[in-house]
Amino acid sequence: MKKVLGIFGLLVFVCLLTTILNPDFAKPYNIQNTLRWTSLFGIISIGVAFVIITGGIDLSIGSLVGLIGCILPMSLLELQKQPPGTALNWTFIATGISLLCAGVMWAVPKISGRDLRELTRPFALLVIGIALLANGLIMPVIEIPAWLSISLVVVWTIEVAIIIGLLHGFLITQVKLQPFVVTLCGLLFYRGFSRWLTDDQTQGFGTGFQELKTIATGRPFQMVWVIFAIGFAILCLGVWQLLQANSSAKTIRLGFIGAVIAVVTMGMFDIFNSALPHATLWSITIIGPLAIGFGIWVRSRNKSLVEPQVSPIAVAVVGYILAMAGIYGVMYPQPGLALSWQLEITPSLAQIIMLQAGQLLISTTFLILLVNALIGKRFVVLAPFLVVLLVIGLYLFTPPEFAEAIGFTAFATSDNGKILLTVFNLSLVVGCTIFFLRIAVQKAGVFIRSVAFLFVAGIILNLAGMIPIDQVQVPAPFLMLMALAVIAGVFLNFTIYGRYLLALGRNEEAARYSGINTDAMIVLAYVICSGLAAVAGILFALDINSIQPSGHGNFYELYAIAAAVLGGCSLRGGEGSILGVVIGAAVMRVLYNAINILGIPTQLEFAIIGAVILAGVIVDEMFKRIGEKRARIAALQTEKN
Amino acid sequence: MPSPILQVRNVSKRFPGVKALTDVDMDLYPGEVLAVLGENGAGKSTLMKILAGVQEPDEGQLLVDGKPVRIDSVRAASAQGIVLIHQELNLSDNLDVGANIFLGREPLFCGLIDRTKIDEGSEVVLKKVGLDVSPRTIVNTLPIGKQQMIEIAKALSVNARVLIMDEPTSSLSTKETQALFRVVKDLRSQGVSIIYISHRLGEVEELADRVTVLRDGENAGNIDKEEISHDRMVQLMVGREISQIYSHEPLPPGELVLEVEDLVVPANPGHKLNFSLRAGEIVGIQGLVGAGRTEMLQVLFGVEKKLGGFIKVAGQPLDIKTPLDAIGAGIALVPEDRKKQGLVVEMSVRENTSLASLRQKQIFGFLNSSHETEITDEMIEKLNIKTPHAMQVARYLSGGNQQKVVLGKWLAMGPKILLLDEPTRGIDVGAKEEIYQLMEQLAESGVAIIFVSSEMEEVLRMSDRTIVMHEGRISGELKRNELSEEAIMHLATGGDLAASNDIEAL
Repeated sequence: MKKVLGIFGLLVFVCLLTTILNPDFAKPYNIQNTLRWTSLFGIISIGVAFVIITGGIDLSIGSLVGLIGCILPMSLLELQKQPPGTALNWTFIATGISLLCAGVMWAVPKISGRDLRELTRPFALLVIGIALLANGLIMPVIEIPAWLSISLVVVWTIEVAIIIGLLHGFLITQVKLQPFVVTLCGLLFYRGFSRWLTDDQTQGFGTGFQELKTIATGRPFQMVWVIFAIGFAILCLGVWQLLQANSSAKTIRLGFIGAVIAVVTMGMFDIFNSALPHATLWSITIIGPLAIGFGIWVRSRNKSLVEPQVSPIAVAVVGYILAMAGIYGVMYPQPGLALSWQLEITPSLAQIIMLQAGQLLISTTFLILLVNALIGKRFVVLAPFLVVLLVIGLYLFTPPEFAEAIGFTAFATSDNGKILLTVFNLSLVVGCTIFFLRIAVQKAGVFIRSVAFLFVAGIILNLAGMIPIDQVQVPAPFLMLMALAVIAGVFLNFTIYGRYLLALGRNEEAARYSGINTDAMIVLAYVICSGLAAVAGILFALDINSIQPSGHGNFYELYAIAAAVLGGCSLRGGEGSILGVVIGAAVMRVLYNAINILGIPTQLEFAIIGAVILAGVIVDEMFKRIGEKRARIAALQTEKN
Repeated sequence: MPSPILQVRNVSKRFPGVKALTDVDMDLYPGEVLAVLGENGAGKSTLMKILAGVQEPDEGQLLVDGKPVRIDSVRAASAQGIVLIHQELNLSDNLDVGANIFLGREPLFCGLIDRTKIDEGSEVVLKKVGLDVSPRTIVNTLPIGKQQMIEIAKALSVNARVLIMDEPTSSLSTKETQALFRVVKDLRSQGVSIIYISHRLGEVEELADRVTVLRDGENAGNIDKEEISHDRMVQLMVGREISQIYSHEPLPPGELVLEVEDLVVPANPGHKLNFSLRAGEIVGIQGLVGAGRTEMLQVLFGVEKKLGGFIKVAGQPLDIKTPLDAIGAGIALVPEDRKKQGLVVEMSVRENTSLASLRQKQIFGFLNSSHETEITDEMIEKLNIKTPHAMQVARYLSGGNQQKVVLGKWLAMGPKILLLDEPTRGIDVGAKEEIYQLMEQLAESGVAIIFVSSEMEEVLRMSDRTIVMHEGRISGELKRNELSEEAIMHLATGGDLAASNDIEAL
């Protein structure tokens, strides 16, 4: 979690810095572009993360993207010259061959191990494969709709990648070759093969296949909804975690959930009734703290728990008002939105929605955590509050004449001044957030962690409300990335197979001794990697529409590996976070984009990216050492007791 | 009384949050074997690290030959003639024996490594430790027992005056231990002083001239030769009078749970193994290093595939090809090397404890978080695992606690047959007792236990029956009333049962 926060902070920092230096970065067109490319690379990075977690590596991804980029257009164009039903035949043939290969690879270790009784299943696979193959060859061509034939082509393109993944896995687990060597050969072979196949001719889809292209180039709806969905999802996760929390926090939970519901209802009401733009504010100033205070009061009556020393309702109200003032004061020292002058737009309804929603969450969670800290006497949590309060105090309570006298007003209204103040304020908020979350996530139990989720949701919504996100249309690949990332993340962290992968990445022998089928898991990882590379390859091909067999996909594996490493995957294996990997891919892409937009000579591109990755990894190492030291001391102390 | 060669005066050492040593005094005389005892956390390793130059004391001083010295690096310690032989092997196992012995101080001839000198020098020290291998042998082809001897040879080759041996016999068989003792006694008569750290009190009784006991970072007391006894040592280590340790009473054996018929193990294809096991039995397996004990357990657990023969569990012949098959049959193995095979050391206690039972308790492929919490808390309590919390990374636990985590992982599976490979190696006295008690409890609840051990004491105490192996075959089985060190040794060195009965009769 901490690693992810770090790299997330890096991403936010680079984005903000670039926007300030060149506002074109935050223009809708550029954001869309960056999102699209991030998605494509992100998908590849997720795949390679699985392989890295097992302690292996896959260098062939770039060439695989190149291969897919050649096969897909070639097949589709070839298909156009044949009756559409041919695709069905091809699918049978391709699937037949795939099953044949899979069957052979499955059978070989059994034969060499003299496990003849185990051969029934691989044999069955072989037979089915041959049957499908034969069927495909002799079957007469039948009519099928065009969309089906195109889909089938896509399907067996992915099949090719899966077989390649199986092949990698087979060579690594059964023939016991090193992943580096196997995939290096793959890199060379697939590249060479693509070039031979296409005779080095540039491939493309021409002007046809529009429906297919939309899966790569489409922009179904506004980004606002995605951000909202993400914020909402995090909110739900937070509430769900809250419900799992220890029952001793039950009454706080009830109070909090009540507050959130009240707040959201009021917010919705407010949004559709724009005559009272700040009704939300006032409503939650009263309902929110009342609900929470009530909860805390009820809990304090339950004498078995810690007695709060301070009247909860009083704390609730005071803390709340301070928090709200803090948010507004810090965010908007000037009237109007902080960044809007730069971007020369006025805030739209969507932005206002985001901001309101974000602030609701932030304020409410500030409050909960504040109260909890006071009850539990963990005053270190108050540190960011105090900083924020100090800054607000300065903004609000410095007499204007004084500010004028020391030249602050002149500075604040000057162009540079506005930029710097905005940067300062935003850094303050982001910094406090991260500090706050680190402490909250580290020391406290499920309750605090779930509240931290809600806080993050609020920050996301708030920050999003400050950029013209409503004019950004979400690229279709981004949706795919989100879906794949969620599936991958759940797989890695919540299924037993994810746990097996992490264990075997750290210590394959111990994993085997614990009854884990390490060979099967490693093969799975390589299949996932190649499969995702193929998906991304298809999207790349449809997007670029002009593929050079000799160069398409070159170096992609390095970007993917860099993203994975930045995102927390150790090349030694056993460690990795999907969220981190996606953010890592975003960082890589944003850096590349920033270099272009800021006019930094492209010669320096690789140098800068390399330096950033190195810096990220060094910081990561330092944090790890500190964590280790703490753990060692804790163990020593327990030993002595 | 000659003056001490090494004196430790008022040494204290503090780490963040912990005071490892408080005002420790210790004397070492030339030509003596001083045993240093203490439970885990007592400060032994810290003190030894200070003597060997790995750490420096915060307070106090060290005196060599009566003169205060500053030992701030391993090189400085070496210069004073102090060498530490680690318990964990420090060899580069991809290199050969000679290269390892002279690592870092290779003799040169015209700037190139002088291989002949290395071979000569190595042969000398190898002979001293009684190890008959060529200096050109690659270390990773040798069993752990022999590797440890090479470590000792390496220290001998730098002509140390003070040799600190940290658990030197932990991986050695009885025969090799005897060889080591000979070497130690030899060195002693040559005037070399040896600081001997061990948890095996029997060895200490045999070897030590004096004993110093550390407890909670302080010197709890010195024992002179005449007073050295098991009870006295434990008393100082633990700090109180301990009542007679219970001894294991074999239970009336239950039904047959395991039958091994003509089993052929890949490592020793020339022999067939036969034995059986009943519920509630504790069977010890003894033998010299290389006798094939671990290999047999590995076949029973499916880590290696058998070449022939039958394994019957509860009467049913089973084809055990992978650990999963064995687990399905109710067999569990606590392996020899807990760091490499037993645990994933970078994962937490919780993750390690639940690792084997994830499959059983899954919810349609998803992790069962409440089961994990439950089982971890249960095992931490039941096995008395000392860890600050369940999320503590396993690497930072002591050996004893790590072993308990591995045990916890398997107990969570509710095995019917528990295979233990050197369960108490490198573990302090307190934890050992806990493990013995656990074995006792498990046997009472009907679990059949096989444990491989090189510690004679342990086998004599805990086993109902002892199977002795020799070079890949079972050379004999001894019932509890036939059990004795001589009988075991006889079978372990290749004698046969009839002859051992003769020894009993004598």
